[in-house]
Amino acid sequence: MPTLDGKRAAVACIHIPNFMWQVESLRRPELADRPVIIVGESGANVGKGAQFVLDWSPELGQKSSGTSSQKFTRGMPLSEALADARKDVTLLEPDIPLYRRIFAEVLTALEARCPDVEPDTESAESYGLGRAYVGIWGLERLYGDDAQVVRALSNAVNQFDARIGVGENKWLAYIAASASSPGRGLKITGEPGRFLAKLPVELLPVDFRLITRLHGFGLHTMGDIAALPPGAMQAQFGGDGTLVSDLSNGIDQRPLVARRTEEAVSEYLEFPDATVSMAMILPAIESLLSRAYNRPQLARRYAREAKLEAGVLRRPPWTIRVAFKEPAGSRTKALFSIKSKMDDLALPGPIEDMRLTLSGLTGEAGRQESLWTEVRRDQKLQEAVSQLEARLGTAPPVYQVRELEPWSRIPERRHALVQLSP
Amino acid sequence: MVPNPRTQARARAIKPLNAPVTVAVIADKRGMPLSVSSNEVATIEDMWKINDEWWRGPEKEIERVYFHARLADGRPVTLFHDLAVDEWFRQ
Repeated sequence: MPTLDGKRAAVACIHIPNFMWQVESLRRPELADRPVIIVGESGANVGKGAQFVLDWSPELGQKSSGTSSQKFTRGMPLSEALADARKDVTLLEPDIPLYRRIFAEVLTALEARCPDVEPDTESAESYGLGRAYVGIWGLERLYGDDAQVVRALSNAVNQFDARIGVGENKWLAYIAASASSPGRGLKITGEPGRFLAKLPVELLPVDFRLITRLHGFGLHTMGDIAALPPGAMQAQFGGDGTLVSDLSNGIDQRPLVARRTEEAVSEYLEFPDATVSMAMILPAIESLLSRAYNRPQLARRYAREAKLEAGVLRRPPWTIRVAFKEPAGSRTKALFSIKSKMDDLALPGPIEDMRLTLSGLTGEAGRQESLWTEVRRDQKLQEAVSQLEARLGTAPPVYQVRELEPWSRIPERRHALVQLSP
Repeated sequence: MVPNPRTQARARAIKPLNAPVTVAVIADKRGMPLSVSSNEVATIEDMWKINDEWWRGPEKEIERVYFHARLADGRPVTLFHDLAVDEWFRQ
């Protein structure tokens, strides 16, 4: 990752360990001193009903021997974690929409200091939360040395116990952040292999099962892996073997790809009492839409998508996305689409609060409408059928009801479905 | 294993609406339905008979006795007894 002046580019990693737990302890301070495990469905196992460890309180994760290795791994089955945890542990359901929102605020705060910010989305178990990479090359003219840059980044995340590391690539920056102490940055310079040698394999961004297999082969630290030839690792573990071999030697070819920010408008309300009644929920959505469309960002503009996130009483949060067939420029049009979608859905339980986010904002200020709508109706139908035909590769199964013998005394001869030909 | 017919998925044919579906009916000696698919018949609200296409011969003749009934759980149902083949249908 060379820069124009020939020096090696630097990447900073902002790592907020146990991010989900930190967010929970910020909103529920009584949890701060209690052993907590946040459990939910994880990665590829979503929808299968099994529960996995997503996060935990820090003192619960430390091994009693005081080693730096972790007792828990994200994505490990809950049953396995409970066998190793204290008896008084509290199990929490995750509030992923809240974690995502808070992490988006963290990213925005970081972008205010350094423009190139990439959230680490590779870890499916942690939902890509709690870790971000920042490209800090070229910022020395703005901030001075790396220590000043780290200080500026640290100020952006000062509400969390965040760790900051700097390295020549994303992996080394992450490792530096993991090894740093709270409130202080750590920079890896010189030969990275020596720094990595004593670190546990649990830090490698691979599946829980692979970590278990590595231990089974007696590979407990990255130094153990680096001592083996890459070919042997690849022969035993396939593509993942190459990855862990490279990372254990400090090699990481992944580029830093800054996130693209998307303009969105969000509104929130709480219900006086948890409700399952559509008679209450629909006016609430209408009110949220009114407030959103009155915001200056949406003045004379259209939204392509709406997202509803609702807190459900004693259940995980509920989220639906509604993509508008045509961008909606008013409360009534957006409400119509949302209402149609909600007609087909069953609520998971009583809803306590609701957040509406309108995104995919267009730049247009108006739409060309047809003066004679009836004239164009057949044309639109023809176009829709043509699009379907192109998508399916054959004549679409779209029918219309035609009268055959409406006078017939035999009911099945009166009407029939015939292929639509507008 | 069902073999691949190697034909395109087509939707060209005319599909009749409201086609009759066979149904299990227990009837009394007079031919009045007592139960439909194990659901008891509460009342017979209407009854009529059609006899059509007799000129096409005994095999193609249409001879049906229709019943508009209400089941014990309140659902309405329209049935007919096809006298030509002695079978019951829902329509």
